[in-house]
Amino acid sequence: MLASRVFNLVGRRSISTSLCLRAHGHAGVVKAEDYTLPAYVDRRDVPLPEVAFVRDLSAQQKALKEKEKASWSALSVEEKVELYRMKFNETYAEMNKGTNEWKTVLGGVLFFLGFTGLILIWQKHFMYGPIPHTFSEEWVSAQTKRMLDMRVNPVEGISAQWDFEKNEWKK
Amino acid sequence: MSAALLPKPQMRRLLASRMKFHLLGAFLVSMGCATLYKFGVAEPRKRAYEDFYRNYDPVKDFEAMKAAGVLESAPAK
Repeated sequence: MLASRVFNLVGRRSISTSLCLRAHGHAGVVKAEDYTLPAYVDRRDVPLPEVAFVRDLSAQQKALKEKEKASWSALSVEEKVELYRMKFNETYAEMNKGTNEWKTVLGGVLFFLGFTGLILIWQKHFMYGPIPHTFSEEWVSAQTKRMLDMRVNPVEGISAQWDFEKNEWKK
Repeated sequence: MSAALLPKPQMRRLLASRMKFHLLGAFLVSMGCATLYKFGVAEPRKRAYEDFYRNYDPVKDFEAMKAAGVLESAPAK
């Protein structure tokens, strides 16, 4: 409510943007900011960008642009390349060229994996207590014997690897 | 201009050719995976079960387990 009252006092103009403040000196036309204008972009799926790459041409380049208006067979190869470079930044070949970034990424990943390994070693040595007694040699062998006695997984599993006649693991 | 002209790249039907390539490839890869699984995993497993149950004597197995003492309700006497 109060905001709309202030709006009516100021008039139809917006209250305070930096663009409008600068407009007070001119005829009421705001200078267009760079980011609002069409931009040049090197993209595979945009073959003809909205503007040419070189915006402000030197006198030499302006002369070349005039020459471009005549027959193109009069242009030399260097002039054609110069015209191309004025219009575009990179060629498709340059744009699509791969980098060696993957090596850096892979190296970084492996490095931090290694560092994590060091942390784990430190933890095992300094932090963790002893493992449960059920991991001891005697317990595990008694456990395995009990599993074989019960015929656990006799088709494809552990009991299938044991030879019950000879009382040893199958070769 | 380069001394020799580059070959003209494909200009049209790019999606169509990409789709054809990838549809065929996807079909072959998925069929290949299914075939590999069937003959690498499924068939050996079926054969293992057949071999196990061909000459299986459950009573003999029961007696062996009972003798080993793992059955709580059927102690080895």
